[in-house]
Amino acid sequence: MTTMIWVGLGAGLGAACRYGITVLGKLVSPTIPYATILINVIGSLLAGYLTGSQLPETWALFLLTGVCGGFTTFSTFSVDTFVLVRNHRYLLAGWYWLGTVALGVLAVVCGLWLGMHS
Amino acid sequence: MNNNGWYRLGQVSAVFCGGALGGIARYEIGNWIHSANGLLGTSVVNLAGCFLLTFTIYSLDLRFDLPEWQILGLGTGFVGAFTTFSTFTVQYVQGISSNPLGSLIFLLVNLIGGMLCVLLGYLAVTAFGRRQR
Repeated sequence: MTTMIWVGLGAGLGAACRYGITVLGKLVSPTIPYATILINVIGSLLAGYLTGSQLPETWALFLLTGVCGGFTTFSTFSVDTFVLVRNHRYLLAGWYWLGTVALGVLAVVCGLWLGMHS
Repeated sequence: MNNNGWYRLGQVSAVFCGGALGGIARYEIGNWIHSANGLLGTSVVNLAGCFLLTFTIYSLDLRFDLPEWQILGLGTGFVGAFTTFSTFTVQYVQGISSNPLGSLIFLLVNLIGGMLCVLLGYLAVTAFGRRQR
């Protein structure tokens, strides 16, 4: 029961931060989802760092499963790609789709390294 | 705080509550599906979330005229926090050295499966009668 509360609290905070950044991102560009790229890459970096630094279980549940999990989003990422395809921006859709994954994986590798060496 | 400020606060609260529930649902499903390193749990959650988000955005929004805070709480909050990109990338990287083929399959299932589930959600909305109000 307590573990659920930690995960929920973290995921709520993560989601609220994501919403704030998305609102700001729409001001920068209403069509290109810069905010989602930033969110998923930063979230991956943080998750890599936290995984590498071997947190105690409660902190891992709150920060990793909760905050990082709730902050980053796979569904918005996929729907963003779909919307770009529907708007016939195929090249951009391809770059966004594969680019986010490539940057996310790179961010995790950097994060893990930082976490293990700090 | 002016009216607009209260309005924003209400939206953020809706996203927070939806996000908390979405995160708990993801955690519980992960516990429930005991698989090697949680790869199956993450995949199930991500694919289901892709379907649900498309359905929420296109169907509930257009067909039922829900107020914005409900769409935000359900879509951005619940489904957004239900799915996870960071666990997906971390699990992929962690699996590369021990099981490169399994990790690659995991990556492709999530990426391609995610797009198929979005398409499926979109088709479901169309079949559901998107234009009826």
